[in-house]
Amino acid sequence: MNSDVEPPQDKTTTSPPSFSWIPNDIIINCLARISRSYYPKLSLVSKTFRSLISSPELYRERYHLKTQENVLYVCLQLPDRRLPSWYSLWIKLDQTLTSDMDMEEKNKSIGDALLVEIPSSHSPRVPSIYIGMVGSKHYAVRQYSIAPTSSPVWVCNVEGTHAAWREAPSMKVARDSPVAGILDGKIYVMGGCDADESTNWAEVLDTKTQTWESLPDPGPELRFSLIKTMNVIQGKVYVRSSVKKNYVYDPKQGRWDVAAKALEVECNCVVESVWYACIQYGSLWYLDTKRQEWRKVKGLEVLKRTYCGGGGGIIAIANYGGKLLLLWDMFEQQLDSCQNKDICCSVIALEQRNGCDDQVWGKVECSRIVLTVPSSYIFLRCQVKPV
Amino acid sequence: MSKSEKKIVLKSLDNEAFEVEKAVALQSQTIWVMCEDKCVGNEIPLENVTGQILAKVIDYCKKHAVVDGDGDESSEELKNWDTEFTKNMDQSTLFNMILAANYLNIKSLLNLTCQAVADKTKTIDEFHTFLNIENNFTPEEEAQICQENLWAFDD
Repeated sequence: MNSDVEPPQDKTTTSPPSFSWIPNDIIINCLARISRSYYPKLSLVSKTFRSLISSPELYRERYHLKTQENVLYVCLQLPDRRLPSWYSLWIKLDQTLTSDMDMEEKNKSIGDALLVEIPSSHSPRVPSIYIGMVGSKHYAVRQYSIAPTSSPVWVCNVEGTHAAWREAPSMKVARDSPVAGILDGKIYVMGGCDADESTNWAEVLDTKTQTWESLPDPGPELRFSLIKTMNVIQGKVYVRSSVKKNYVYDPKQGRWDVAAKALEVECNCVVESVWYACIQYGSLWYLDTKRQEWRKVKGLEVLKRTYCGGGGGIIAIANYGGKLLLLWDMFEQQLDSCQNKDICCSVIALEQRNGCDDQVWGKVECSRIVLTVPSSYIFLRCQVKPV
Repeated sequence: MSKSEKKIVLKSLDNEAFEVEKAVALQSQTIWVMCEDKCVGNEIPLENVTGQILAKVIDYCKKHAVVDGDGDESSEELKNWDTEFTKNMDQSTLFNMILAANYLNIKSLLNLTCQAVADKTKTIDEFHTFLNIENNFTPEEEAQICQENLWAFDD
Protein backbone atom coordinates (compact mmCIF):
# COMPACT_ATOMS: atom_id res chain seq x y z
CA MET A 1 0.00 0.00 0.00
CA ASN A 2 1.03 3.56 -0.43
CA SER A 3 1.17 5.31 2.90
CA ASP A 4 2.05 8.60 1.28
CA VAL A 5 -1.64 9.18 0.71
CA GLU A 6 -3.29 11.20 3.44
CA PRO A 7 -5.54 9.01 5.58
CA PRO A 8 -9.23 9.37 4.82
CA GLN A 9 -11.34 10.66 7.68
CA ASP A 10 -13.88 7.92 8.12
CA LYS A 11 -14.28 4.28 7.32
CA THR A 12 -17.25 2.21 8.18
CA THR A 13 -15.77 -1.25 8.12
CA THR A 14 -13.55 -2.57 10.83
CA SER A 15 -11.30 -5.27 9.43
CA PRO A 16 -8.61 -5.84 8.44
CA PRO A 17 -6.96 -2.88 10.17
CA SER A 18 -5.32 -0.43 7.89
CA PHE A 19 -2.70 2.19 8.60
CA SER A 20 -4.50 4.69 6.39
CA TRP A 21 -7.37 4.90 8.90
CA ILE A 22 -5.16 6.21 11.65
CA PRO A 23 -4.73 9.96 11.50
CA ASN A 24 -1.16 11.22 11.67
CA ASP A 25 -1.73 12.93 15.00
CA ILE A 26 -2.39 9.54 16.62
CA ILE A 27 0.84 8.11 15.19
CA ILE A 28 2.57 11.20 16.58
CA ASN A 29 0.90 10.62 19.95
CA CYS A 30 2.34 7.07 20.00
CA LEU A 31 5.79 8.07 18.71
CA ALA A 32 6.10 10.92 21.20
CA ARG A 33 5.86 8.36 24.01
CA ILE A 34 8.78 6.33 22.68
CA SER A 35 12.36 7.25 23.55
CA ARG A 36 14.02 9.42 20.94
CA SER A 37 16.81 6.87 20.66
CA TYR A 38 14.49 4.58 18.66
CA TYR A 39 13.70 7.22 16.04
CA PRO A 40 16.57 6.60 13.61
CA LYS A 41 15.52 2.99 13.19
CA LEU A 42 11.79 3.72 13.16
CA SER A 43 12.17 6.13 10.29
CA LEU A 44 12.60 3.03 8.13
CA VAL A 45 9.05 1.86 8.87
CA SER A 46 7.60 3.83 5.97
CA LYS A 47 7.83 7.15 4.18
CA THR A 48 5.06 8.63 6.28
CA PHE A 49 6.88 7.56 9.44
CA ARG A 50 10.05 9.14 8.24
CA SER A 51 8.40 12.49 7.66
CA LEU A 52 6.51 12.32 10.98
CA ILE A 53 9.72 11.56 12.86
CA SER A 54 11.38 14.70 11.57
CA SER A 55 8.28 16.89 11.94
CA PRO A 56 8.08 19.75 14.45
CA GLU A 57 4.67 18.39 15.52
CA LEU A 58 6.33 15.34 17.06
CA TYR A 59 8.59 17.52 19.20
CA ARG A 60 5.66 19.73 20.17
CA GLU A 61 3.76 16.62 21.26
CA ARG A 62 6.73 15.42 23.34
CA TYR A 63 6.66 18.80 25.07
CA HIS A 64 2.91 18.54 25.80
CA LEU A 65 3.10 14.92 26.94
CA LYS A 66 6.12 15.71 29.12
CA THR A 67 8.07 12.89 27.47
CA GLN A 68 11.01 15.09 26.56
CA GLU A 69 14.48 13.72 27.13
CA ASN A 70 17.61 15.69 27.88
CA VAL A 71 19.87 16.20 24.91
CA LEU A 72 23.41 17.51 25.06
CA TYR A 73 24.39 19.86 22.26
CA VAL A 74 28.08 20.53 21.68
CA CYS A 75 29.60 23.23 19.51
CA LEU A 76 33.12 22.74 18.16
CA GLN A 77 35.35 24.61 15.76
CA LEU A 78 37.12 22.16 13.50
CA PRO A 79 40.35 23.28 11.80
CA ASP A 80 39.14 22.57 8.25
CA ARG A 81 35.84 24.42 8.54
CA ARG A 82 34.83 28.04 8.33
CA LEU A 83 31.82 27.85 10.63
CA PRO A 84 31.40 26.12 13.98
CA SER A 85 29.90 22.62 13.90
CA TRP A 86 27.11 21.46 16.17
CA TYR A 87 26.63 17.95 17.46
CA SER A 88 23.98 16.29 19.55
CA LEU A 89 24.61 13.40 21.88
CA TRP A 90 22.71 10.23 21.05
CA ILE A 91 22.47 7.51 23.59
CA LYS A 92 21.93 4.23 21.87
CA LEU A 93 19.95 1.99 24.18
CA ASP A 94 20.66 -1.65 24.60
CA GLN A 95 18.78 -3.80 22.19
CA THR A 96 16.97 -5.99 24.70
CA LEU A 97 13.67 -4.34 23.88
CA THR A 98 13.83 -5.23 20.22
CA SER A 99 12.86 -8.48 18.64
CA ASP A 100 15.81 -8.29 16.33
CA MET A 101 17.80 -11.25 17.60
CA ASP A 102 20.99 -10.76 15.64
CA MET A 103 21.29 -7.20 16.93
CA GLU A 104 20.64 -8.31 20.45
CA GLU A 105 23.41 -10.80 20.87
CA LYS A 106 26.18 -8.44 19.87
CA ASN A 107 25.62 -5.59 22.21
CA LYS A 108 24.89 -6.47 25.77
CA SER A 109 26.47 -3.39 27.26
CA ILE A 110 24.41 -0.56 28.73
CA GLY A 111 23.94 1.21 25.48
CA ASP A 112 26.34 3.41 23.65
CA ALA A 113 26.73 7.11 23.12
CA LEU A 114 27.85 9.16 20.16
CA LEU A 115 28.05 12.78 19.13
CA VAL A 116 26.19 13.07 15.84
CA GLU A 117 26.59 16.11 13.69
CA ILE A 118 23.62 18.42 13.09
CA PRO A 119 21.76 18.56 10.86
CA SER A 120 21.00 14.95 10.37
CA SER A 121 17.56 13.70 9.56
CA HIS A 122 17.10 12.83 13.22
CA SER A 123 18.32 16.04 14.74
CA PRO A 124 15.91 18.34 12.98
CA ARG A 125 15.88 20.73 15.89
CA VAL A 126 18.16 23.66 15.39
CA PRO A 127 19.85 24.19 18.74
CA SER A 128 19.38 27.55 20.33
CA ILE A 129 20.80 28.90 23.52
CA TYR A 130 18.37 30.34 26.01
CA ILE A 131 19.46 33.84 26.97
CA GLY A 132 16.90 34.76 29.62
CA MET A 133 13.87 36.89 30.28
CA VAL A 134 13.15 40.59 29.96
CA GLY A 135 9.72 41.60 31.24
CA SER A 136 7.32 38.89 30.11
CA LYS A 137 9.40 37.81 27.14
CA HIS A 138 11.88 34.98 26.77
CA TYR A 139 14.90 35.42 24.53
CA ALA A 140 17.05 32.79 22.84
CA VAL A 141 19.82 32.88 20.28
CA ARG A 142 19.89 30.46 17.38
CA GLN A 143 23.09 28.52 17.15
CA TYR A 144 23.05 26.71 13.92
CA SER A 145 21.99 28.00 10.56
CA ILE A 146 22.82 26.95 7.03
CA ALA A 147 24.12 30.46 6.41
CA PRO A 148 24.63 33.45 8.71
CA THR A 149 21.32 35.13 9.52
CA SER A 150 20.51 38.71 10.46
CA SER A 151 17.86 37.51 12.90
CA PRO A 152 19.60 34.99 15.16
CA VAL A 153 17.70 36.23 18.21
CA TRP A 154 14.27 34.76 18.92
CA VAL A 155 11.66 36.02 21.29
CA CYS A 156 8.68 34.35 22.95
CA ASN A 157 5.88 36.09 24.78
CA VAL A 158 4.74 34.09 27.78
CA GLU A 159 1.53 36.00 28.42
CA GLY A 160 -0.47 34.49 25.60
CA THR A 161 -1.94 31.01 25.67
CA HIS A 162 0.21 29.94 22.75
CA ALA A 163 3.85 30.46 23.53
CA ALA A 164 5.26 30.76 20.04
CA TRP A 165 8.78 31.83 19.22
CA ARG A 166 9.31 34.48 16.59
CA GLU A 167 12.31 36.33 15.23
CA ALA A 168 13.40 39.49 17.01
CA PRO A 169 14.14 42.57 14.83
CA SER A 170 16.94 42.15 12.29
CA MET A 171 20.48 42.94 13.36
CA LYS A 172 22.83 45.15 11.39
CA VAL A 173 24.99 42.20 10.35
CA ALA A 174 24.21 38.54 9.71
CA ARG A 175 25.65 36.06 12.21
CA ASP A 176 26.12 32.36 12.72
CA SER A 177 26.35 30.91 16.24
CA PRO A 178 26.94 34.21 18.04
CA VAL A 179 27.08 34.49 21.83
CA ALA A 180 24.48 36.46 23.76
CA GLY A 181 23.56 37.70 27.22
CA ILE A 182 21.13 39.99 29.07
CA LEU A 183 22.07 43.05 31.10
CA ASP A 184 19.68 45.76 32.32
CA GLY A 185 16.89 44.75 29.95
CA LYS A 186 19.19 44.75 26.95
CA ILE A 187 20.28 41.82 24.82
CA TYR A 188 23.99 41.76 23.95
CA VAL A 189 24.94 39.73 20.88
CA MET A 190 28.52 39.35 19.65
CA GLY A 191 30.59 37.50 17.10
CA GLY A 192 29.56 34.98 14.51
CA CYS A 193 30.25 37.50 11.74
CA ASP A 194 33.32 38.46 9.70
CA ALA A 195 36.32 39.25 11.86
CA ASP A 196 36.84 42.36 9.72
CA GLU A 197 33.49 43.69 10.83
CA SER A 198 34.78 46.34 13.24
CA THR A 199 31.78 48.70 13.41
CA ASN A 200 29.04 46.15 14.09
CA TRP A 201 30.96 43.23 15.60
CA ALA A 202 28.94 43.57 18.80
CA GLU A 203 25.34 44.79 18.91
CA VAL A 204 22.84 45.45 21.66
CA LEU A 205 19.04 45.28 21.48
CA ASP A 206 17.04 47.74 23.49
CA THR A 207 13.98 45.62 24.30
CA LYS A 208 11.81 48.69 24.91
CA THR A 209 12.45 50.35 21.59
CA GLN A 210 13.20 47.05 19.80
CA THR A 211 16.17 48.60 18.04
CA TRP A 212 19.74 47.38 17.66
CA GLU A 213 22.71 49.58 18.33
CA SER A 214 26.36 48.88 17.65
CA LEU A 215 28.90 48.65 20.45
CA PRO A 216 32.43 50.04 20.14
CA ASP A 217 35.03 47.88 18.42
CA PRO A 218 36.73 45.53 20.93
CA GLY A 219 39.83 45.45 18.73
CA PRO A 220 41.17 42.90 16.27
CA GLU A 221 42.51 40.45 18.84
CA LEU A 222 39.06 39.54 20.12
CA ARG A 223 37.39 39.83 16.72
CA PHE A 224 39.86 37.44 15.10
CA SER A 225 39.69 34.89 17.92
CA LEU A 226 37.12 32.14 18.37
CA ILE A 227 34.40 33.32 20.69
CA LYS A 228 33.41 30.74 23.29
CA THR A 229 30.98 32.17 25.80
CA MET A 230 29.53 35.37 27.19
CA ASN A 231 28.84 35.92 30.89
CA VAL A 232 27.19 38.86 32.58
CA ILE A 233 28.81 39.45 35.96
CA GLN A 234 28.23 42.46 38.19
CA GLY A 235 27.00 44.81 35.50
CA LYS A 236 29.69 43.92 32.97
CA VAL A 237 29.80 41.66 29.95
CA TYR A 238 32.66 39.13 29.94
CA VAL A 239 33.67 37.39 26.74
CA ARG A 240 35.75 34.23 26.72
CA SER A 241 37.51 33.28 23.55
CA SER A 242 40.41 31.28 22.20
CA VAL A 243 42.82 33.99 23.32
CA LYS A 244 44.12 33.53 26.86
CA LYS A 245 42.87 36.81 28.31
CA ASN A 246 39.20 37.59 28.78
CA TYR A 247 37.66 40.74 27.43
CA VAL A 248 35.14 42.75 29.37
CA TYR A 249 32.67 45.39 28.18
CA ASP A 250 31.47 48.00 30.64
CA PRO A 251 28.16 49.46 29.39
CA LYS A 252 28.26 52.39 31.82
CA GLN A 253 31.54 53.64 30.41
CA GLY A 254 30.82 52.27 26.94
CA ARG A 255 34.26 50.70 26.57
CA TRP A 256 36.20 47.47 26.31
CA ASP A 257 38.97 46.33 28.62
CA VAL A 258 40.99 43.23 29.22
CA ALA A 259 39.61 41.59 32.35
CA ALA A 260 42.00 42.07 35.27
CA LYS A 261 41.74 38.46 36.34
CA ALA A 262 40.85 35.48 34.22
CA LEU A 263 37.53 33.93 35.17
CA GLU A 264 38.82 31.41 37.64
CA VAL A 265 36.47 28.59 37.06
CA GLU A 266 36.05 27.78 33.43
CA CYS A 267 33.93 24.65 33.75
CA ASN A 268 31.06 24.89 36.16
CA CYS A 269 27.40 24.05 36.49
CA VAL A 270 24.64 23.79 39.05
CA VAL A 271 22.95 20.50 39.93
CA GLU A 272 20.15 20.73 42.48
CA SER A 273 21.37 24.09 43.71
CA VAL A 274 24.93 22.89 44.32
CA TRP A 275 27.76 24.41 42.32
CA TYR A 276 30.15 21.94 40.69
CA ALA A 277 33.39 22.87 39.02
CA CYS A 278 36.54 21.41 37.56
CA ILE A 279 39.16 23.57 39.15
CA GLN A 280 42.16 21.36 39.17
CA TYR A 281 43.10 19.11 36.36
CA GLY A 282 41.39 15.79 36.69
CA SER A 283 39.15 16.35 39.64
CA LEU A 284 35.67 17.53 40.28
CA TRP A 285 34.81 19.93 43.09
CA TYR A 286 31.64 21.31 44.63
CA LEU A 287 30.88 24.35 46.72
CA ASP A 288 29.91 23.45 50.26
CA THR A 289 27.80 26.43 51.26
CA LYS A 290 27.75 25.51 54.95
CA ARG A 291 31.50 25.39 55.20
CA GLN A 292 32.02 28.11 52.60
CA GLU A 293 34.66 26.10 50.80
CA TRP A 294 35.23 24.05 47.69
CA ARG A 295 35.40 20.34 48.39
CA LYS A 296 36.34 17.41 46.21
CA VAL A 297 33.64 15.04 44.95
CA LYS A 298 34.58 11.62 46.29
CA GLY A 299 34.55 8.28 44.56
CA LEU A 300 35.79 9.45 41.18
CA GLU A 301 39.26 7.95 41.28
CA VAL A 302 38.22 5.55 38.49
CA LEU A 303 37.59 8.46 36.22
CA LYS A 304 40.86 10.12 37.00
CA ARG A 305 42.75 6.95 36.19
CA THR A 306 40.93 6.74 32.86
CA TYR A 307 41.98 10.04 31.50
CA CYS A 308 45.21 10.78 33.27
CA GLY A 309 48.09 10.43 30.89
CA GLY A 310 45.75 10.86 27.94
CA GLY A 311 47.21 14.26 27.26
CA GLY A 312 43.88 15.98 27.36
CA GLY A 313 41.62 17.52 29.92
CA ILE A 314 38.10 18.31 30.93
CA ILE A 315 36.22 20.28 28.30
CA ALA A 316 32.90 20.94 29.97
CA ILE A 317 30.52 19.83 32.66
CA ALA A 318 26.75 20.07 32.48
CA ASN A 319 23.62 19.23 34.42
CA TYR A 320 22.14 16.25 32.65
CA GLY A 321 18.77 15.74 34.27
CA GLY A 322 20.11 15.78 37.81
CA LYS A 323 23.26 13.92 36.89
CA LEU A 324 26.58 15.41 36.00
CA LEU A 325 27.78 15.07 32.45
CA LEU A 326 31.49 15.40 31.98
CA LEU A 327 33.09 15.98 28.59
CA TRP A 328 36.83 15.42 28.33
CA ASP A 329 39.34 14.65 25.66
CA MET A 330 42.55 12.69 25.17
CA PHE A 331 44.84 11.82 22.31
CA GLU A 332 43.62 8.94 20.21
CA GLN A 333 44.93 5.77 21.79
CA GLN A 334 45.53 3.48 18.85
CA LEU A 335 47.99 5.73 17.10
CA ASP A 336 51.31 7.09 18.18
CA SER A 337 50.83 10.34 16.33
CA CYS A 338 48.99 13.19 17.97
CA GLN A 339 46.81 13.95 15.00
CA ASN A 340 43.48 13.15 16.54
CA LYS A 341 41.78 13.49 19.86
CA ASP A 342 38.97 11.41 21.27
CA ILE A 343 36.19 13.32 22.96
CA CYS A 344 34.78 11.28 25.81
CA CYS A 345 31.63 11.60 27.80
CA SER A 346 30.96 10.40 31.34
CA VAL A 347 27.66 10.45 33.15
CA ILE A 348 28.05 10.75 36.92
CA ALA A 349 25.31 10.16 39.47
CA LEU A 350 25.68 12.31 42.56
CA GLU A 351 24.80 11.41 46.08
CA GLN A 352 24.98 13.45 49.25
CA ARG A 353 26.11 11.02 51.92
CA ASN A 354 24.93 12.17 55.26
CA GLY A 355 27.57 11.37 57.78
CA CYS A 356 29.86 13.35 59.95
CA ASP A 357 30.96 15.56 57.07
CA ASP A 358 28.09 15.44 54.51
CA GLN A 359 30.41 14.64 51.64
CA VAL A 360 29.15 14.45 48.04
CA TRP A 361 30.00 11.21 46.26
CA GLY A 362 29.97 10.58 42.57
CA LYS A 363 29.40 7.32 40.72
CA VAL A 364 30.46 6.97 37.10
CA GLU A 365 27.52 5.39 35.28
CA CYS A 366 29.10 5.28 31.88
CA SER A 367 32.17 6.56 30.05
CA ARG A 368 32.39 6.48 26.29
CA ILE A 369 34.39 7.89 23.42
CA VAL A 370 31.73 9.91 21.61
CA LEU A 371 33.65 11.58 18.79
CA THR A 372 37.13 11.63 17.25
CA VAL A 373 38.31 15.00 15.94
CA PRO A 374 41.55 16.57 14.69
CA SER A 375 43.57 17.47 17.77
CA SER A 376 43.62 21.17 16.88
CA TYR A 377 39.83 21.44 17.32
CA ILE A 378 38.51 24.05 19.71
CA PHE A 379 35.59 23.46 22.04
CA LEU A 380 33.29 26.47 21.97
CA ARG A 381 30.23 25.68 24.08
CA CYS A 382 27.62 23.12 25.00
CA GLN A 383 24.19 22.99 26.51
CA VAL A 384 21.64 20.47 27.71
CA LYS A 385 18.09 20.89 26.46
CA PRO A 386 14.93 18.83 26.86
CA VAL A 387 13.83 17.58 23.44
CA MET B 1 -34.17 13.61 36.06
CA SER B 2 -36.26 10.44 35.96
CA LYS B 3 -34.75 7.02 36.08
CA SER B 4 -35.28 6.27 32.38
CA GLU B 5 -33.55 9.49 31.27
CA LYS B 6 -30.40 8.44 33.07
CA LYS B 7 -29.98 5.47 30.78
CA ILE B 8 -28.91 5.50 27.18
CA VAL B 9 -28.63 2.77 24.54
CA LEU B 10 -25.53 2.55 22.37
CA LYS B 11 -25.85 0.52 19.21
CA SER B 12 -22.75 -0.88 17.53
CA LEU B 13 -22.00 -1.33 13.87
CA ASP B 14 -23.06 -4.97 14.07
CA ASN B 15 -26.33 -4.01 15.80
CA GLU B 16 -25.40 -4.97 19.31
CA ALA B 17 -27.21 -2.80 21.84
CA PHE B 18 -25.68 -1.70 25.15
CA GLU B 19 -27.72 0.04 27.82
CA VAL B 20 -25.50 2.25 29.94
CA GLU B 21 -25.76 5.09 32.43
CA LYS B 22 -25.73 8.44 30.69
CA ALA B 23 -22.85 9.58 32.86
CA VAL B 24 -20.83 6.64 31.55
CA ALA B 25 -21.57 7.32 27.89
CA LEU B 26 -21.07 11.06 28.09
CA GLN B 27 -17.34 10.65 28.60
CA SER B 28 -17.36 10.35 24.86
CA GLN B 29 -17.38 13.85 23.43
CA THR B 30 -18.92 12.47 20.26
CA ILE B 31 -21.89 11.00 22.16
CA TRP B 32 -22.13 14.14 24.27
CA VAL B 33 -22.45 16.27 21.14
CA MET B 34 -25.01 13.85 19.69
CA CYS B 35 -27.09 14.11 22.85
CA GLU B 36 -26.81 17.89 23.00
CA ASP B 37 -27.33 18.53 19.34
CA LYS B 38 -30.69 17.06 18.73
CA CYS B 39 -32.88 14.42 20.12
CA VAL B 40 -31.50 11.20 18.78
CA GLY B 41 -33.85 9.48 21.11
CA ASN B 42 -32.52 7.12 23.69
CA GLU B 43 -30.66 5.05 21.16
CA ILE B 44 -27.41 6.19 19.65
CA PRO B 45 -26.09 4.39 16.58
CA LEU B 46 -22.28 4.14 16.49
CA GLU B 47 -21.45 3.19 12.96
CA ASN B 48 -17.71 2.91 13.38
CA VAL B 49 -17.45 0.57 16.35
CA THR B 50 -18.10 -3.16 16.57
CA GLY B 51 -19.87 -4.68 19.54
CA GLN B 52 -16.70 -6.41 20.69
CA ILE B 53 -14.77 -3.15 20.85
CA LEU B 54 -17.69 -1.12 22.17
CA ALA B 55 -18.04 -3.53 25.11
CA LYS B 56 -14.42 -2.81 26.07
CA VAL B 57 -14.87 0.92 25.65
CA ILE B 58 -17.90 0.79 27.94
CA ASP B 59 -15.89 -1.20 30.50
CA TYR B 60 -13.33 1.57 30.47
CA CYS B 61 -15.93 4.34 30.72
CA LYS B 62 -17.72 2.60 33.59
CA LYS B 63 -14.48 2.41 35.52
CA HIS B 64 -13.71 6.05 34.87
CA ALA B 65 -17.19 7.46 35.37
CA VAL B 66 -17.91 9.43 38.48
CA VAL B 67 -21.46 8.31 39.12
CA ASP B 68 -23.25 10.30 41.79
CA GLY B 69 -20.13 10.48 43.86
CA ASP B 70 -20.16 6.83 44.86
CA GLY B 71 -17.30 4.39 44.62
CA ASP B 72 -14.52 6.90 44.16
CA GLU B 73 -11.51 4.86 43.17
CA SER B 74 -8.14 6.04 44.29
CA SER B 75 -5.98 7.28 41.46
CA GLU B 76 -3.46 4.56 42.19
CA GLU B 77 -6.09 1.85 41.82
CA LEU B 78 -7.38 3.41 38.63
CA LYS B 79 -3.87 3.48 37.22
CA ASN B 80 -3.37 -0.20 37.98
CA TRP B 81 -6.71 -1.00 36.42
CA ASP B 82 -5.70 0.91 33.27
CA THR B 83 -2.44 -1.01 33.07
CA GLU B 84 -4.24 -4.34 33.38
CA PHE B 85 -6.85 -3.19 30.87
CA THR B 86 -4.36 -2.78 28.02
CA LYS B 87 -1.77 -5.30 29.18
CA ASN B 88 -3.10 -8.37 27.44
CA MET B 89 -4.80 -6.67 24.52
CA ASP B 90 -3.74 -8.15 21.22
CA GLN B 91 -2.47 -5.90 18.47
CA SER B 92 -5.65 -5.81 16.44
CA THR B 93 -7.84 -5.05 19.48
CA LEU B 94 -5.48 -2.28 20.49
CA PHE B 95 -5.58 -0.90 16.97
CA ASN B 96 -9.38 -0.89 16.93
CA MET B 97 -9.52 0.58 20.44
CA ILE B 98 -7.44 3.52 19.22
CA LEU B 99 -9.76 4.05 16.29
CA ALA B 100 -12.79 3.82 18.60
CA ALA B 101 -11.29 6.20 21.16
CA ASN B 102 -10.55 8.62 18.35
CA TYR B 103 -14.00 8.34 16.79
CA LEU B 104 -15.79 8.57 20.13
CA ASN B 105 -13.41 11.31 21.19
CA ILE B 106 -12.44 9.97 24.61
CA LYS B 107 -9.13 11.70 25.21
CA SER B 108 -7.98 9.70 28.22
CA LEU B 109 -8.68 6.36 26.51
CA LEU B 110 -6.84 7.54 23.41
CA ASN B 111 -3.83 8.48 25.52
CA LEU B 112 -3.95 5.18 27.38
CA THR B 113 -4.04 3.14 24.18
CA CYS B 114 -1.32 5.22 22.53
CA GLN B 115 0.85 4.63 25.59
CA ALA B 116 0.19 0.89 25.26
CA VAL B 117 1.34 1.03 21.64
CA ALA B 118 4.47 2.92 22.67
CA ASP B 119 5.20 0.33 25.37
CA LYS B 120 4.69 -2.69 23.12
CA THR B 121 5.92 -1.45 19.77
CA LYS B 122 9.49 -0.38 19.27
CA THR B 123 10.92 -2.08 16.22
CA ILE B 124 10.32 -1.67 12.52
CA ASP B 125 8.78 -5.15 12.32
CA GLU B 126 6.46 -4.52 15.23
CA PHE B 127 5.16 -1.35 13.60
CA HIS B 128 4.73 -3.11 10.27
CA THR B 129 2.62 -5.80 11.93
CA PHE B 130 0.69 -3.42 14.12
CA LEU B 131 -0.25 -1.02 11.36
CA ASN B 132 -0.50 -3.69 8.69
CA ILE B 133 1.84 -1.81 6.39
CA GLU B 134 4.91 -2.59 4.41
CA ASN B 135 8.16 -0.81 3.89
CA ASN B 136 7.54 1.50 0.93
CA PHE B 137 11.12 2.62 0.43
CA THR B 138 13.05 1.59 -2.62
CA PRO B 139 16.19 -0.42 -1.76
CA GLU B 140 18.24 2.64 -2.78
CA GLU B 141 16.31 4.95 -0.45
CA GLU B 142 16.63 2.45 2.37
CA ALA B 143 20.36 2.12 1.85
CA GLN B 144 20.73 5.89 1.90
CA ILE B 145 18.85 6.26 5.19
CA CYS B 146 20.97 3.52 6.74
CA GLN B 147 24.08 5.25 5.46
CA GLU B 148 23.02 8.57 6.99
CA ASN B 149 22.53 6.90 10.33
CA LEU B 150 25.31 4.38 10.42
CA TRP B 151 25.81 5.13 14.09
CA ALA B 152 22.30 3.90 14.84
CA PHE B 153 22.35 0.76 12.73
CA ASP B 154 25.90 -0.38 13.10
CA ASP B 155 26.47 -2.37 16.25
